Order: sequence, then C-alpha cells, then structure tokens
Amino acid sequence: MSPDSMNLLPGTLDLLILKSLAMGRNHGYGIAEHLKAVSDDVLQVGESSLYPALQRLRLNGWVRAEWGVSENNRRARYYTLTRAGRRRLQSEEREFSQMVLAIRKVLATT
Amino acid sequence: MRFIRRLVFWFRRHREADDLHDELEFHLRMHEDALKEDGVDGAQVTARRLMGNRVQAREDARAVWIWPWAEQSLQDVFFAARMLVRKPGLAAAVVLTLGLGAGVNGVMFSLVDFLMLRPLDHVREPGRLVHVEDAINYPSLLAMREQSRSLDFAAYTHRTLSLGRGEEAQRVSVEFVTQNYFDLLGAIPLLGRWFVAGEETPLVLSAVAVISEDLWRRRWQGDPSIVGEDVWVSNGLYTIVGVAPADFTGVQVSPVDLWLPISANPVLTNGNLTTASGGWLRAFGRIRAGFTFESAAVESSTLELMMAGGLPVPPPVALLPLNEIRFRNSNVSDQTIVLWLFGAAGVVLLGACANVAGLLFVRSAERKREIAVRGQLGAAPGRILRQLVTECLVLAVPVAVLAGVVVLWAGPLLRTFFVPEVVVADVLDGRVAAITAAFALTAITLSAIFPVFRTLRLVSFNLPRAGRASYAHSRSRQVLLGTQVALAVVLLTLAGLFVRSVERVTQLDFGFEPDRVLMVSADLPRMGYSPAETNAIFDRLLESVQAMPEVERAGLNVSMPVGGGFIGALLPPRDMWDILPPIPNNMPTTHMVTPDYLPALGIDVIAGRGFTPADVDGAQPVVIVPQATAERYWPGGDALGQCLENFERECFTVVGIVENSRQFIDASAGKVDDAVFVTQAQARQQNDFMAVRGLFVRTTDTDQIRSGMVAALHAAEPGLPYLQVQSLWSLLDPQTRSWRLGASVFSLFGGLAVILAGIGIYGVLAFSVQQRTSEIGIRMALGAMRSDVLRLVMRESGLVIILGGLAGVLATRASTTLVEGFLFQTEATDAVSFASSILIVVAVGAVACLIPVLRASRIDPMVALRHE
Repeated sequence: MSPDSMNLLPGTLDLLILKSLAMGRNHGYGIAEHLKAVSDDVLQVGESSLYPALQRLRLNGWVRAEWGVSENNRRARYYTLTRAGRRRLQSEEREFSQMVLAIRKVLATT
Repeated sequence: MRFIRRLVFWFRRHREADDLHDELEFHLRMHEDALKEDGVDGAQVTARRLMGNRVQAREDARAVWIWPWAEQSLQDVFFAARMLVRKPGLAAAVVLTLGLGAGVNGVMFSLVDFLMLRPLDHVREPGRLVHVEDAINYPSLLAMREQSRSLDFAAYTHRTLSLGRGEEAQRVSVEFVTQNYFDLLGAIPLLGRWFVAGEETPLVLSAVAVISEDLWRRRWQGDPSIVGEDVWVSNGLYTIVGVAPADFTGVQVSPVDLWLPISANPVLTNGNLTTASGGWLRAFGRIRAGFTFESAAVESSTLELMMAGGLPVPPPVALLPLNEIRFRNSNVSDQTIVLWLFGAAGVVLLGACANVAGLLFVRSAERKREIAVRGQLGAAPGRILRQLVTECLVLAVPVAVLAGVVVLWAGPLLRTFFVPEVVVADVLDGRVAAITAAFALTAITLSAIFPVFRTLRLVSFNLPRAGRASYAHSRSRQVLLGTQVALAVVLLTLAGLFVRSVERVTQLDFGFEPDRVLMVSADLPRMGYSPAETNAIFDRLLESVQAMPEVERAGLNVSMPVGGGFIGALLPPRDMWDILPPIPNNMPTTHMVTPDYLPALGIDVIAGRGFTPADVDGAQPVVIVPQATAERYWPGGDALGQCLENFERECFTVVGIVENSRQFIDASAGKVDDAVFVTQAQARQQNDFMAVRGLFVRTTDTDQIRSGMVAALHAAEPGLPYLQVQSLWSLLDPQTRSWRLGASVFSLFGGLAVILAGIGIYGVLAFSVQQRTSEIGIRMALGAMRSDVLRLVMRESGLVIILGGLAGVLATRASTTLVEGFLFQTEATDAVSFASSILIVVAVGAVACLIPVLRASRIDPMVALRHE
C-alpha cells in the first residue's frame, strides 16, 4: 500500500498542515512526521501531496517559507503560519467540526 | 494578492525550482537517517523506493503556482515565433499575402459600412423612420399630417447657397427643413435650440438658422457665443439659433452645413409655402407607438395628397425604409459597383487563402519528420494540434497589423473616389478595425485548417521516410495554382482595358484646351440679382481680370462650355426645313459670348475669322459655327457667308468656322457639340433675360494666379456673395471618374492577384524541387545534364502558367462583354491589354521559378543521393 492511500476529505490536508504549524515553525519532513505520530500512524502524508499542498498555502499567503538549519545540521526549508493563516485555521477548524457533527448525525440515524 | 505572488514566483521560478529540489532532497536524507536509526539495511535505496516519484511531486508543487496550460501556451508562442524567424521567407509570404488580402477587404468593408450599414448619427430609433417615396409639395405635407394616425411627418429639401459676403463668402450645402425635423429624428443640439413652432409657417418671417458643428469649427473656430449672431445666407440675413452635433447629417449621408426653415427656400415667392407646386419636398415619417411599418404602409396608401390649388390627388403614398434612400442625394456612383468590387476583393482574399494553404502544405511536408518524432516521444495529438494552432495565431497578429495599415492607407484614397463630397474622418474606426481583424483571422484559419489536419495525421504514422512526394496533393495544388494564374490574367486584363480608357480620355482632343483655364462662376440670379445686374457685374469682373498681367485672354459665356447652350436662339437655314424641320432636336444650341471667349478657351478658327470688338449691336449680326454644324447644314458646300436666322428672321451671317468641341466624354466615341457662337453684344438685344454664367480666363499659370484673382475680383465688386474659381478641368473630371476608378481598383486587385500567383508558383516549385532532390540526384548520377534538370523542373510550372493563362484569356473574353459599356474608345478585345497582362503574368511566373530552378540545377548528385 502506498503511503498516500489514506483517503482524506478534500481540503483536510490543508487544515492538518495549518494545525501542525500552529505549534511553531516546521519543515516538510517534520510536518509529515508530526501528523504520523499524532495520529498513531494512521495519517501518512506522502511528499507528492504534502509539497503541492504547502505551495498552495504559500500561494494563499497562509504560510511563509524560509531556509534554516535543522536539528541535525542540515539546510531545511521551514514553514511558519502567517496571521492570515491563523485566521484561516480557526475558520477551517470550525467548519470541519460542523461537518463532522453533521456526518455523525447522518451515521447515527439507522 | 495571489496574482502578485504568482508574478513574483514567475520571476524567481528558477530559484524556486532549486528550492523545491533541495527541500525534497532534505526530505529524502531525513527519511534515510530515520531508516538507518531503525537499522534497516540499504537505507538509501529503501528511502528512495518509499518516497515515490519526487519529480512528480516537484512538478505538482510548481503547477500550483504556474498554470500548466498558460506556461505551455507561452512555450508554444515562443516556439512558433522561433519557427517563423527560422523561415522568414515563408512568414513574410504568408503575412504579405493574407495581410494585403484582408486589408483590401477591410477597405471595401469600410466603404460598404459607410454607405449602407452604419446607423445614422444622432438619430433615435432609425428603424422606426420611413421615407416617402415620391417628392411632395407643402399642402400635401399638411394633408398627410392631418390624416395620418400612424405617422408623424417632417420634410426637407437641399440646395447649395452662398454664405457670407465678399471675400469671406463660401458655398454651403443648405437643407431647408420643417420645424419638427430635428425632433422627429431625435437629435439633440450641441448648442442653442432647434426650430420651434411658428418658424415653419410663412406667417412669421422665420429668419433663423442652425449650423453644423463642422461649419461652426471651420468658420467661427468653435466660438461658444455664436448663438444669436447674424449671418448672410444668399441675400437674406439669418440669426443662428443652434449648432447641430458633430457628424449630424439628417437622413442622408452627404454632409449639410446649414439648416434653414423651409419657408426660406428661394423656390417660394415671399416664403409662401403654398405657391410652389410640384414635388419640391422630400418627406419622412416616424411610426407612432402601437404601429408597425406594415400597418403604417397600409394606412399611408389611403392618404390623399393635395395639389397646389387645393384639389386632392389620389396617388397612394408609398413608404420606404429609411435605409433605402440614404445616399440617393449624394453623388455615389453606384451602390452595385461598390458591392461588386467588395465581391472582387473577397475573391482576391480567397485566392490568397488558397495560396497560403499551398505554402503551408509544403511546410507540413517539410515538417513530417519533426512532427512524427514529437509524436513518438509521447506528445499527445491534442498537444501537437495546440502547437500548430498557436503557430497560426502568432501569424495572425502581423497579418492583422498589415491589413490595418492597408486600410489606413488605401481607405481614404478609395473613399475620395466614391464619395468625394464627404469629408474623410477616420477610416479605421472600431467597427472597421474589428472587421478587418476578423478578416485576417478568418483568412488564416481557412488557409491553415487543411494543412494542420494533414500534419496531425502524421503523428499516428510511423517515422516517414523523407522524400516520398504524395502526387495527388501536388496535382490539386497545381490546379489551385492554375486557377490563380487565370484569375490574375482576368483582373490584369480588365485593369489594362481601363488604363487604356483613361489614357484615351486624357489624350482626347476636346476641341478646346482645358489646361491653364480658370472658370469664375457665381449663381447671381438665384441670389436675387436680375440678369441685367448680373451681366453688368460680370462685365466689370471681366475688365478687372483683363488688367492682370498673368491673364492672356478672358471671355464671358451665358452657358457652360461643356454640354451647355441655348436651344432656339437661332434656327436652321430655311432651305433645309424640309430635311431638318425647326424642332428643338434640329436647332443649334447657342453660346452667347464676348469676343475673346474663343481664344480664352483655345477654340481654334479653321476658316474665316473669329469675333472682333466691332461685332456689336448695330453692326452686321455674325455667327461662328463649328465644323460639324457647317457640315450638317451646308453639306459639301461653303458655309461662310450663309445665314442662320433668329425668330425675327434676322440673318446672322456665318463669318467663321471653328474646330468641333466635344460635348460629353461618353463611351460612344464622344458626341460632338454642335453649339454655335454669337456675341453677347448682338444677342442681348433679343435675350435680355439671359444672365452670364461664367467668366473664362486663360492664364499663364493657373495655380499661382488663383488667389490673386479672387482678391482682384472682390476688389472690383465688393459685397458679392460667393464666387467660385475653379479650373476648367474640374468641370471635366467627374466625367472621367468611372474610368479612373476602374483603372485604379482593377490595377490594385490585378497587381495583388499576380503577386499572389507568383508566390504560389514559387512555393509549389520550391517544394517539388525539394521533394525530388534524390530523383534529380539519381538522374544526374546517371548522366543527365544540367539543362535536362532545368527542363524537368520548368516543365511542371510552365504547364501551370500556360494552361492557367489560357484559361484566364478565355474567362476574360467571356467577361469583357460585361464591361464593354464602361470602356472608352477601347475594344474589349484590345490586344495590348491582353498581351501585357499575359506578359506580366509570365514574367512574374518566371521570376518566381528562378530560385527553385537554380537550386535544382545546383544539386550535387553525391549529396542528393545521401539525402534519403
């Protein structure tokens, strides 16, 4: 099974990335690892969706990218949440929980 | 914001690409480290395997910023531009061919649009306006207004009058209109007001005028306080009450300088509108709300018109949509000619498309390899199609630009031919520009569509072996080419026939010498001067002119020299009445002149004498006749000393015979003017009601003297209305217009067609030489001489030119019967025209063959054999 096989709801990846950046700046690998660890290995985000998603967030001005040095002394590109990104995260979180609630309700009616 | 970020990304796209690469590399290394820590063997390979396609990830990340289609389109554009630069000859040929073709059509469209399609300026809902077919009188207008429930009527009539006094005076085009004229059209004045109720009826003296914006700018420099000023129009003083908006021309296309109330029309006695009978007004109506054109027309057919005496006349009132009468009053030579020429221009454009299609076929054959390679490397047919289409669109830009230049340059030229009385504003307005661009785009689409699809078919094939000519295609190209050659021959021959006609016209012996003759005219009787006053004024003008050193001879005439004259002043000789009864047809027309008139016009005396100052009232009445008249009345005999009588049976003795003057420059070899000349001194006695029409002055140099003469004339006779000073040629020019028009337009189209045919011949021959390189190489290796190769290559194109030319000659012979009537002293079978057009086509064909043939003859057999 490819690492990307986990189906995410559309737009959820952006939300997850924003959320993981809310704790502080991180590089792409770190974001992927963080998501994997927090979700108990359920969410395995592949590079081919992670990096386009990061660029999409940059394009929208929600994250900022700059080069820095990683914990093991490698040159790494770090992403930071912008103020617009923070606002976006809040609204997306709200929408997502509404959506989940709605889906729960649908599933509860059997 | 997003757009700006995209733009920033675009400018640093190379650095961004590096960043992405480094970032993914970092990701990979981290992955490796993690695997190593876990103690996985071959961590490097495993990491790579687990990570999947990094190139894809990079491309996807990049695609977030740069839309792939936009980038590819840009690539296509650059690639297309590079291809064109690499083949400048081809690009130039396509642009030139289609640009000229589209440009010519743009020019013709601008003319058609101007004459027929464009809605009238400043007219509200022109679709609800109708024109009354017949001219009517004022009582009829009143009757129609009273009876009609479906229409509101207004009326107008045209006249040229003099504006201002003395040297300031100028001729203006005046429209006399009813009070509701402007309101019915829905126009809004630029300044002041339109006419109001009461300014139409004769009860009030309606001395008010509205001027055009153009006149306002020219004469009063756009003075905003013009409203309220008084101006002289003809012999009346009028108060300007308003200025019309720019380009407002009422219901017709021809421009109007000044509007006056209809009661000011000089055909009326004391402005009494009911006095003039007969149709002196043109009427139009606006359909009222709730009625259609059909219902209005039905109702109109029941309207009763009034005769001047108050009796009703029953003819039905016929209505026409306004568009159909729009340029009836302007001197447009012929609507059908314009449309016909538009059609011819369209044919030229189609020829151009066929030609370019031929060139592109050649190109597509050249690119077989390139396209097939692309296809095999994985380019989808759609992608290749897009690239080919882009190449065409890139070409469309210079094509459209060139077409626009052609319109800008040739448009005003053509318009002065067709509608010289209309001031040319900007020919290339939005409409014309859009249509010209559309012509360019359509042309390139038509030319490219078949070659592109042919190219596209190659993608699915295997790599072709170069050098396999498809003969069927070259055959159809040759037919196409032959047709073009034929078309060129037709157009060139027609051009030749018209050029010959113009030549004949300008070489024509008019019987007088129009060079260096100025004509001074003033329509004084129309402005209220009596004939006696007019004649006295002209006598004084003649004296003042004769005092000028630049003037050789000067004389007066009561008629215009070409086609004028009075009928019935003199009768045919009495002993001829059995053969030539004294009906108007048989009576000579008579010019009443001053003695120096004949030398002033350059009419030579052949026998006897000219007039002398002694030929005055009281002396023996004398007449001078042209040869034709002498021959007609006294065939074979001596006309000198014979008599022409007036109605009092007074004998006018023939004392001189002059050369014949041409009356009209018409196609029937020129009708001869049989007018005879008598002196005014001897004729006025009976003809006091005749006023001098013109002063004719033979000068040393027409252009230099003109302004000086105007000043001298006004000094001699201050306070005169407008005096027109023009060269005698300007009187003759309108008669030669149709030939000049035919000559120039057909020369233009013929020239275009022959250039196109030349390009076509070149393209096809160059292609065929290229296709047959290896064949020629083999022939040469087997011992063929250079001359054999030349013959081989020439045979193909020679046949096309000869057969095409032959077809052209036959087609021309068939079509010349149509134009025969338009030619002047030129046979429709005129050998010179035919020969020269064929010569031109063959010469152009030969030049077009030159390069490919030279290339063929320089083929090196060794190189050619390796060509495959």
